[in-house]
This record gives sequence, structure tokens and C-alpha cells, in this order.
Amino acid sequence: MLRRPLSRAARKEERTAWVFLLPWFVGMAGVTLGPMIASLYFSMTDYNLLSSPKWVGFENYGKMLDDPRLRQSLSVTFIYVVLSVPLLLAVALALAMVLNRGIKGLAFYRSVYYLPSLLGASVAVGILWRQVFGTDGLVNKFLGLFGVDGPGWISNPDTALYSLVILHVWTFGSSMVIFLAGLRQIPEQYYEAAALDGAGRLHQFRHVTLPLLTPIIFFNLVLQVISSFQSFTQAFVVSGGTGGPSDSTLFYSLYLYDEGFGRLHMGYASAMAWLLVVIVGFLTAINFYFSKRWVFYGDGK
Amino acid sequence: MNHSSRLSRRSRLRAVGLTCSVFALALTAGCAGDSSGSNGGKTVIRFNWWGSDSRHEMTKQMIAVFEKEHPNIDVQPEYSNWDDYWKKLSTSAAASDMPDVLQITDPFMYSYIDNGQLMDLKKVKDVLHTDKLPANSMAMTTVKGGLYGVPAGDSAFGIAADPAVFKKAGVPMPDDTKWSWDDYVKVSKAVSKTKGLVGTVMPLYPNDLGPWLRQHGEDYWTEDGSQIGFTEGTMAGYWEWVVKLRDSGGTTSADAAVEALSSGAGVEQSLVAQHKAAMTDVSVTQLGALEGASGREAKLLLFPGEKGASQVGAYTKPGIFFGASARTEHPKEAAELLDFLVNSPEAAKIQKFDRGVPNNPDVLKAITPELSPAEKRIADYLGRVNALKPTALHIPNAKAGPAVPEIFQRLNEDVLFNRLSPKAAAKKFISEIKSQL
Repeated sequence: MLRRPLSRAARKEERTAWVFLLPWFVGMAGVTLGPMIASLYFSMTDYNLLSSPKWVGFENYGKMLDDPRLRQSLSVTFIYVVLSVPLLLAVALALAMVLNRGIKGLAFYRSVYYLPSLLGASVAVGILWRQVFGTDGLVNKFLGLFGVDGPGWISNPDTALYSLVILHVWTFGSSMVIFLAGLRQIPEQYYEAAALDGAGRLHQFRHVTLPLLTPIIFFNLVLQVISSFQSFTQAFVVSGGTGGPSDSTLFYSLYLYDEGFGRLHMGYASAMAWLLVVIVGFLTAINFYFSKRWVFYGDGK
Repeated sequence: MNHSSRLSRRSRLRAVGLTCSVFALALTAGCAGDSSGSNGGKTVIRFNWWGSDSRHEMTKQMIAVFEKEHPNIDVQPEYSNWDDYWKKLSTSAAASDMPDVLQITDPFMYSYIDNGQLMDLKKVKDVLHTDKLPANSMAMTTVKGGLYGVPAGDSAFGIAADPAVFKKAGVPMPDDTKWSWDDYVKVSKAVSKTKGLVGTVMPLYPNDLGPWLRQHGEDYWTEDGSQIGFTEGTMAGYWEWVVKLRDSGGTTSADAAVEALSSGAGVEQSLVAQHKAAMTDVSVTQLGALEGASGREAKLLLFPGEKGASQVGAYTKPGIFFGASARTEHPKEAAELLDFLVNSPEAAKIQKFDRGVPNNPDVLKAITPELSPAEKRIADYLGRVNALKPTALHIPNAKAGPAVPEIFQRLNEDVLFNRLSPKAAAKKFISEIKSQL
């Protein structure tokens, strides 16, 4: 260990730090790590929650290859992530730029736009969404003014998933606040210099804002991909817990929940959880790999 | 220097102390959470059920009466709605923390019986008297010689029809002793011709599937429950009929029906309760709730197709049972509560038919003078079904049975939204059930 020996005082301080960190470590071990290890074990068993698990090795993982509902849930989740994440980031960035103009009452608007992020995954909003997109909901009332007879957006398998995408995009607030902080970091001189060189607003955005914001975009992208993959509440509430109609909103985590607690296949559900870990880990790794090509860190790294 | 290091030690000690007290708090909270046991000399037992708000209120009143009769027992109520009852129960079973007494039903209860989670009630027959309960009402909970549940009351599926809507549409009420499944479609279509009315609510639960299969001489399961008891052709026929009903315009749109279902709307919010539909399939014990919401009288009709069928389709059976946890530390007290729930006229006077028509004839007799007109009509309907001398519904397979309603509902939506043909759906229905066996 090439570590400089610490002074007595520093060592004491370090020990104090450990003591303060202890609750977090205990929580991490007990609430996160423990269940994860347990689920790894359960994933190799036949476990129905009602009697003790029986060891089956990799059988559950093999079963996943031949499960049409698993494929359906993966495709639903991928479509959801691929559509909602870029849309959400674009909306968040656009609004952050508008708010960054230094308009009056910024704090108020920031709070108003942030609110949906806090509420979006809640049960209440899921229920609200049913009212808005229902057969007799707001959207159809509005379409009715133009003589259009809209479908039940959330109860028709062709449109149900897209109404959930919109719900997710609506929760752009947390990404927006991070963008707003990023925009504040960009020195004003860059814009002045660009303006002197005759760059218009579009050029300024394209050649100053965007490159300097790439680390923030990257950060938001990684966070959003991970959280979108784990979406659960919206689909659970909107579809009444079934992932219906016709499995059109069967998110991966919803299917996992139903297999584990509904059909009592906890071994299989645990294996599914590990597949999710692998998928999300893989996508994050890909994100980091490609980030070298487009993410610009100011310090030249 | 010396002084300051003492101080810092003190603050460190304080930090350690704080951390420990947080854990201590968490631990005591954990202990306090365990409510099963003794409380001031009383034996505490937990009782879990699902239901509507009115059932929660009535059951709490019943518990109060029970506690008065048994001053040594303290019953802790735990209740929820139907939606997540079984998911919560499986979690508590996995944690070995199941309530002592629970409300159960088929097909879900068979997973619990099969895995030894429920107590064999024959062990407590000194306290829980079953001699007044008809043997056929306990057939469903008798598995391998053990008795795992006592019936809360008989029920049946049927069609609730609103004569006022038929009158408004100028369509005569169908004669349910003669009508066919095609007549059902025709009548629905005729009612729907009047603006603002539909003939029937789109069936999304398999309430009418049992009668359909039985009329074709089949059943969900073979008699011993080991195999699927119906053929692909009969199942495809059912879904062809569903498509015919949908295309006739005699029913709500698939969109609207799915929406009502996923929002958890009960019979109180159904289109019949809103005077917009003439008919809906129901569990007949809900008639009172339906009439309470609609404010007018509804009639109970038999499902179509009984005339000329190879077997009587309609059937009555207990819709709800009560059982006890195999791990209960208080089997005697649990049995006393079970005995009260099924054999006490006092309990029945409070809940009437909410959990079905009492199976104990003495109890039924005791409450008969107090029945409302709706309850009398429920009793009449069950009497009509029993007069057809129906055979008993076969007992579901313990492993695959609980998955059937969910598989049906999903494939039924596939058919309604034209994603699967009736034939393809029937084929998939059978193969999906088989994969669960």
C-alpha cells in the first residue's frame, strides 16, 4: 500500500467517518445485497412461496428462452424505452433552455415543471391518466369537438403503450432541473465570442451549448434508460395490474411481479430479475463505451 | 490538546450511541409488529378477508358479537379489496406470517391446500361443528380426506336483467327457460337499437364459460382434476359466440368494457346500475348491491342454452370459504371463530347473503323472516337452479387451476381486439393451461 501514514488526528477522523457510514452499510447489506444474493439462489430453485425451494440449477434460465410472454414483455419494454427516453430528454432540454433565459418567476416555473417528476410514478397520477385517456376522457372530449370519435386510448391494445409513453415524457422535470444546472455552468463569454464571430442562435446552440452539455445529456440518458427499464407503477395502475389489454402494456417488471406473486413462480421471477440486471448493465456499458465518441469533457479527457 | 481529544472521544461515543439507539428502535418496532399472541390475558387471533366497504363494516360488527360471546379472544381484523388479496397472502405465507383465520375461494385456495398451508379442520371438529353443513357444500374443500375450509354460503352465476330498460326499448323480456345463446345476441341487438341503450355488458370474466362448457357435456377439468376437461372445439365455439355478440352491436365496445374492468369498477358502477344496459352477468349475491345502486328492481335470469343441452350448465356452489392457517398457534380459538362464522344465526343476521346463502339450514331459517326482497329473489334463483338437478362442478387442478382466470381474460381480449381468431385462441388456451400442469 502506497499510502502516506495518517496522522493520529486524521486516523481518528477516519474512524469517526466509518462509524457514521455504518448505518448505510448495514442498510446496503441488509436491504439490497442480502435480497440480491437470496434472489440469485432462488433463481436456481423451484420456489412457490408456499413451500420450501427445491434446487433445479439453471432450469429457470432455460425456460426463459421458450416463453412468449417474456418476449412480449421485453419488446413492450424496449419500445417504451426507445420512444420515451429520447422524447423526454428533448422536451426536458427544450424547457430548460427556455427557463434559462432568465424569465421572471423562474423558481415558480421550475417547481411547476418539476412537480410531475415527483407525481408521475404515483398511483394517483395513474388513475388520473385513466380519466384523461379513457373512452369518455378529456382527450376524446376534445377530439369530439372536431367530430372525431376517439378510441379508449388506454384500453385499446394498439394505443395503450403510447399513452404510457406520454405519461413518462410528462415526468421530464428531474432531467430538466439537471439540464438547467448544466446550462448555468456554460460561461457567458463563449456565447459572446460566438456572437462576435457572427454565429446565430442555432449555431450557438449547435456549437457551444450542445458540446458543453454532452456530459449532462449523457448522465440523464444513463439514468433515464435505467429507470425506464424498471417502470412498473404506471402500467400496473392503468391496466389494473394485468399488463393488458392483450399484454400490450406488459412491462418487464410487471410480468416479473405477476410471475412471482400472482402465479407463485418465485424461482422463475428471480431468474427474470437477474436477466434484467444483465440487460440494464449491458445497456449502461454500451452507453459508456459509445460516450467516448460524443461526450465532451471540458478538461480535455 | 488533552482536553480536546477527550471532547472528540465524547462526540464519537455519542455518534456510536446514536447509531445503536437507531438500531434498537428498529428492533423494537420489529417486535411490536408481531401482534399474534396474548394481549392482556386475551388470546389474539388475526382474521383476513377481502370484500367491499359494506362487507368490511358488517364483518367488524360480527367480530364485535363474537368477542362478546368469547371474552377471552381478541380478533384482529385485516381486510382489503379483491385485487391484491392473493398476492399479499402469498407474501405473508412465505414469511410464515399468515393470519390465523382466512377467507378463501377456488381456484386460488388449492395452491395453499396443496402446499400444506391450511389446517385440516377435522383436527378441531370438537369445536368447529360441521354436522349441519351439507356434505356437497364441503366437497370442494375436502382434499385427500382432509377438510381445509368451511363454506360461507352458496352462490351462482346468472344474468341480472332490468325490466325497465327492456320496456323502454320495447323489447319483451326473454324467457330464460327456453332461450338459446343466439337469442341472447338477438335480444341484445334489439335493445341496442334504442339510442343510449345497449343490450348487454360485454362479458370479460369467465362467468358464463362454466355453464357453456357443461352444456356441451364438458367441464374445466376432468372429474379427478388431473387433466383439462374441455375440447378445443367447444372453446373455439364459445369465442365464436363472443365475436358474434361483439359484431352484433348488442353490447358495449371492447374498449369501454376493458376500461371498466381495469378500473376495478364493481357491479355498482356497471351500465345496468346506470340504466344504460338491459343485462349483465353477475355473481347473484351481488343483486342487492346492484339494486342499491340502480334504485330499481332487477330480475335474475338463467344463462341461455339450458333447453336441449346435453347436461345442465347452471350450477350452485359456495363462492367463499373460511379456513385456518396450518401454522396457527391457537387452533382452538381459530376454530371457535370459524364455527361462529358458519353456524351462528347472530353472525348471519348481520351479513345476510353478503358471502352467499348460508349452507347451514338452521341459520338460513333463522334469517329468512328478515330477508329483503332482493335477497328473496336470490334465494328463489338458487332454488330454480337446484331444481334443474345440476351436477357438481369438477374440482380444479391444484397447480394449473389458479392460472386459468388470468389466461382466459388475456386470450379473451386477444379475441375481442381481433388479435387471435377464436380457433387460435382456443388452441393457445389449452396449451397455456397444459404448460402450468
